Amino acid sequence: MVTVAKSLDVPIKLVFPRPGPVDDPTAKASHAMLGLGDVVLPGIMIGLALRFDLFLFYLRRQKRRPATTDSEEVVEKPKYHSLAGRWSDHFWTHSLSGHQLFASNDGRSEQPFTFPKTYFKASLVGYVTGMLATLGVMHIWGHAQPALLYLVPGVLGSLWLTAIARGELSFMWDFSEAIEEEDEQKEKEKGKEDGDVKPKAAPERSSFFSLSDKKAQDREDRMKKALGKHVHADSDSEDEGEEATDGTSEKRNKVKEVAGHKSNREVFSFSIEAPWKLKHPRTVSQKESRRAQAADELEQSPSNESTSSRPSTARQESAAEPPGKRVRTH
Amino acid sequence: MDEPSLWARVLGRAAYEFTQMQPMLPTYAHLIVSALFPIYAGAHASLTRPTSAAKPAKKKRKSGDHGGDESSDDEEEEEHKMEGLAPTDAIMMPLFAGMTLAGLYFLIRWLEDPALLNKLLNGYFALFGVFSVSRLITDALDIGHSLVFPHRYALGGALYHVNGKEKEALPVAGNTKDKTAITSPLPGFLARIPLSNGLRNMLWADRAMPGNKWTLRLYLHRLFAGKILIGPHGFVGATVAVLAVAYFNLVDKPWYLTNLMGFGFSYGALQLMSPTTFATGSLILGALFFYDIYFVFYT
Repeated sequence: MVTVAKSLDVPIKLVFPRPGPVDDPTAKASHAMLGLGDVVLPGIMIGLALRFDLFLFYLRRQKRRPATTDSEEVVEKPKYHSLAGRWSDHFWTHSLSGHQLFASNDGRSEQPFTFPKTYFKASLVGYVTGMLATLGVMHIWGHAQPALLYLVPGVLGSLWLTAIARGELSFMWDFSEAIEEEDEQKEKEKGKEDGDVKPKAAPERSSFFSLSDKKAQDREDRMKKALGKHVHADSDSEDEGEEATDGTSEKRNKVKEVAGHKSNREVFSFSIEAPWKLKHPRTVSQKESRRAQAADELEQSPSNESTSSRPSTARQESAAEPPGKRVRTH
Repeated sequence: MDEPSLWARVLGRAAYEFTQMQPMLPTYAHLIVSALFPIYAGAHASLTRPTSAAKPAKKKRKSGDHGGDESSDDEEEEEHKMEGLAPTDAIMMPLFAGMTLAGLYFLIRWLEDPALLNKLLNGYFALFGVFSVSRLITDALDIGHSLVFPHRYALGGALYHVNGKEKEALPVAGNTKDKTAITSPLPGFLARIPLSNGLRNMLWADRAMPGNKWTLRLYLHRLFAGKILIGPHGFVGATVAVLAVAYFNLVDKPWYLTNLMGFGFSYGALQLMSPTTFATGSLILGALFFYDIYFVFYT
């Protein structure tokens, strides 16, 4: 193991400069090393713990409407608010000791700033403890240690012990992130309705390594979905304005012809869209359009078109990227 | 008097070890912090809507009362799927790790010079390094930006919601009585800084800056359909990542660049992989634990 680690110089480790031995100041500064496996493998468990914390947080906010005579018990799930950017909100609304800096009035509920990270913290404590043990053992016996030997009991022990101490072992055991859980359930129900006697296969957790037919099928489906979502065929005449005057209409048609998509014939396409509305959607400056006989000529970015007769297209943004640039090859 | 002397010896030994250890303490602190950083960041970046929360209403724009610019910020939030690990992986993973390690070991013995292998592997990792490091830097910039321009802040006992479209911050909760809208984009006590009109508009524009994302669409028949959004931070992140990886592979391998790539890899991996259940995760880690023991005592 050490041979491999020493002779391969691949960036899958973290290295730390450390002072050379005191008695030999001429010795080259050596490095302490930590394999990425020692970070990632406990890390996925710690990440799971954090997601479990979030799961519990929303679980506790669920409202249950008790069953009435004509309806079953309804569980009202709380609305999810993405946590992106919440950390900075928290920073600006709370004092350094975590005290809220404003009086919350009960009228409208404020979106949560953060959530209790019990298990996450517990697993971090376990991780640090394991790391300290590794370092201690390494230092005293002066021998490289496999960190996982200490990190695994630290992380796992802290997680399961916390669950036992809080009496949430069953929640923890049942918590699952199996992909498309809800969709699958729906499908199952649908299958039942159709009288489809599909034997209920054991909930297939797709393995990281196996590439089954089902997975391939899934991939295909996902691709289809992605296609619908990411690449929308243009309805050709949509944003061609009615302001097309005589002189430009011919040119516009050409642009439309070249840059439009026929979704049922599309083989390859690549497009760049600007974040703002362009002043002249889907136009080519005159000089360019005279030359543009073939589609691939569109590829040349009209970056030096400032001499063109359409002065306003020379704005910085539109010069950087050709408006609605689309390339198509068949 | 054996007992005290034993204790004294133990204590003396501990003190001795500690003085031995002292010059190493900064290194160890560095190591622990560096290991915690990607875990902390990656774990938080991997957060998505849990199943205990309601599914988002489909295609329904939030009505305007939700602090204005939030809709534009959350707009492109897509649920990313994580690669699930199954219990079988608990057996497979250590096996694969062992096989890879043994394979590499014999390959090195056989090649005698690991230079070629190094090149191949480095190329492979360089490719992933560019992606993961650019993602790490982009996210770091996003967080830095949101720290300067948060959505909500407290000032004088009142909570303000910042509305990017109206370019003002409205008091919504707490002590809102004699409070009016604030036109400065800066949060908290910084809002008291007087700003000229031009400067204020510039800052508002800067606040909206990361949202200006270019859309790249790529479609290859039956093979690939994808969309990438790249904002200014993405550009910076990609540039820095390319430069860092190029420097790392072509010029020198200083420790901080190695660590940067390591951070990138672990940050990405933590967002991609999930053990799906605690049982599976424990099984995988347990298997690796025994695998480690095996390696320690038999090699």
